[in-house]
Amino acid sequence: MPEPTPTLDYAPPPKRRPRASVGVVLMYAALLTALLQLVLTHAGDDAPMRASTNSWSSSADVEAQLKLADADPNPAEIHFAGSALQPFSPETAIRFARVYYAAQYLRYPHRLLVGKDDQIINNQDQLLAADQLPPTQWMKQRNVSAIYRVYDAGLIGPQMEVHPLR
Amino acid sequence: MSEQAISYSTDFHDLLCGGLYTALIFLTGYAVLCTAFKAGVRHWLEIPGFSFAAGAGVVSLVLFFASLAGAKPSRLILFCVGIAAVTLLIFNWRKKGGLLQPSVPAPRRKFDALALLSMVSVSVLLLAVCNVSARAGWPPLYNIDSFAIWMFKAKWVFIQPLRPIPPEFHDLILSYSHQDYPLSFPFLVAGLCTAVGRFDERLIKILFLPIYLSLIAVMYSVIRRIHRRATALIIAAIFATAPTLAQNAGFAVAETPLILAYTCALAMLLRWMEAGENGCLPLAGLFATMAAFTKNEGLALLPVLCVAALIGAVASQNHQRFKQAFAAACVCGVAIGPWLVFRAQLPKTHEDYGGKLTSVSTVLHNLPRLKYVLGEFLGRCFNLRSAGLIWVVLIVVAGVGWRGFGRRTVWVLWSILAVQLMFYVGTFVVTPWKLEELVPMISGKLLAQASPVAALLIGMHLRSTRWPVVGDSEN
Repeated sequence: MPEPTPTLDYAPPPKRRPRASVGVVLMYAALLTALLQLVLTHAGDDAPMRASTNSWSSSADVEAQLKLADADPNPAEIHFAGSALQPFSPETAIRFARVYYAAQYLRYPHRLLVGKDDQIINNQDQLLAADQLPPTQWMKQRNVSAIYRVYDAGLIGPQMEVHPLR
Repeated sequence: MSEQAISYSTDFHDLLCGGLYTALIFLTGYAVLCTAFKAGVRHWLEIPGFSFAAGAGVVSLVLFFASLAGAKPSRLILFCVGIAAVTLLIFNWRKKGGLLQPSVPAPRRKFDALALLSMVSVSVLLLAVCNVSARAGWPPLYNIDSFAIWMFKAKWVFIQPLRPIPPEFHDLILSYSHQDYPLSFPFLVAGLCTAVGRFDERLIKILFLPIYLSLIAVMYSVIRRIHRRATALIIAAIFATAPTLAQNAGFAVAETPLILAYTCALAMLLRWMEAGENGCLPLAGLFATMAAFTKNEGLALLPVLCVAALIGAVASQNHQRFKQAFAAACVCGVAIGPWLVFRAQLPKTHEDYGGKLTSVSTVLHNLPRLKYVLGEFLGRCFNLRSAGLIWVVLIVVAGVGWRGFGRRTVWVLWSILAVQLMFYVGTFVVTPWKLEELVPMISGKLLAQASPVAALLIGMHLRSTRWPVVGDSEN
């Protein structure tokens, strides 16, 4: 009769590698995909740290002009000029609204008027509807010192001329 | 000419004053944390993250209350805040025998697939921080919301107190700046400019990076309590580097401060519900109030969080907890009350979402827009360039970790998320703006505001799977 194979009572049970469930693999895949997509987003060509400064040079031009015109504490009138043959495109209207908001911000606490300063302006349509240059006499009565004439220079973006009113 | 406008001639004095102001915010927040909690060791990222968030809230509220009392922001007020913070710290040190101390991070002992993913997470976080810094260097007038709303209001409150109510808040010509928007971020900015001594929109950028880093630190430390380091890093990265959130972190807008306050409020509320730690609920109330004072969306979330706390207290069947929740809700109401009273005196814009959403006839009239809103808004959840993949990850993890639905706190979080999204959808339904313009423009921001809930849910559902948790690795 063959002797039974001796067993070691103290031997630890055989280790079984825990099998990753399908769910855990799925979660690994989801997290890895999410992270890689974020890497691509933050290291892409249009990432801010790689962006060209050309994209905002046009707004900087208007900003600089507005800052120079900021010294005068008297109210100023802003007027958006366009071609009579070609009405404002929606893109131009949005750019003009942007210039208007920036000008209001930079001129503050000095006043910047549109038209006769009696219209509520919440968007570009209301802005352009209110933009009727008042008579010179009206502006002189209110000590308006200058007219900011903003026009769209196509690819260059909005540009501004300051016309003193004397 | 343009070079002259965008050149940075910031001198040492400005940077020093800006740095001191940032330090004041940290110190104030640290004093608040030390008052709320027992002395002891906390996670090394939890202390700076929550301190900056709490400090920003307290400093802006103090400046607001002083302004309501007739005093515009001044260095004297900031000095008094600093003195009060130091006094509070000394008081806590003597009473509690110490202050909150940061833990010392343990060295990594294990390298597995999860650790590899965490390396990718660190890379993404670093890239995002670089991008936020780079964007902060763009011209101050790049983002329209910053100069049409937030920095504009910061100028208003910087040069004059709120009593008597400045004419700018009533001037209908300036209604595009949304005069009834909350003033926390403008006061935070005004405080910085007060410290420096003049209003300079370039210096405001000093605040952007601390706010963003605090957001990362808060989310990481919250998830770190229930998961190992690698998982916390992964979730923090997926949350904080989502494109819309990271993009707004580099602009002078109130999005990131709101998300920071909301994340802190949720974290404290959950900790109170799960662990019952005493100081958590007052802090949750402070952060919820701060969110309400930062953006109108935060104001809508304040009652939601209060109700969640009350439900949590009732469900725990603990009378003491119910009293704590009720007291914290009352404190929130008292703290935000002055702002609500002030706001009630301002002209309502044509938006007036509160009035429209409570009008049954307006809601019914606009109900046909619901189909379009739902399609567009939910579609944005899966827009990689806006929300990243956080919502996809949430769906996958919630599906795999469905057992997590057995936990009460998970239900509370899902309920908060559902109410928040329903609120946003309702706002779109009654908005006076053109949906085709508005939904693409702001739905990404709204989803970013809801993303802290998604990130916390990802962490909680992961706990219900075979995902390696604390105790399996280097911890």
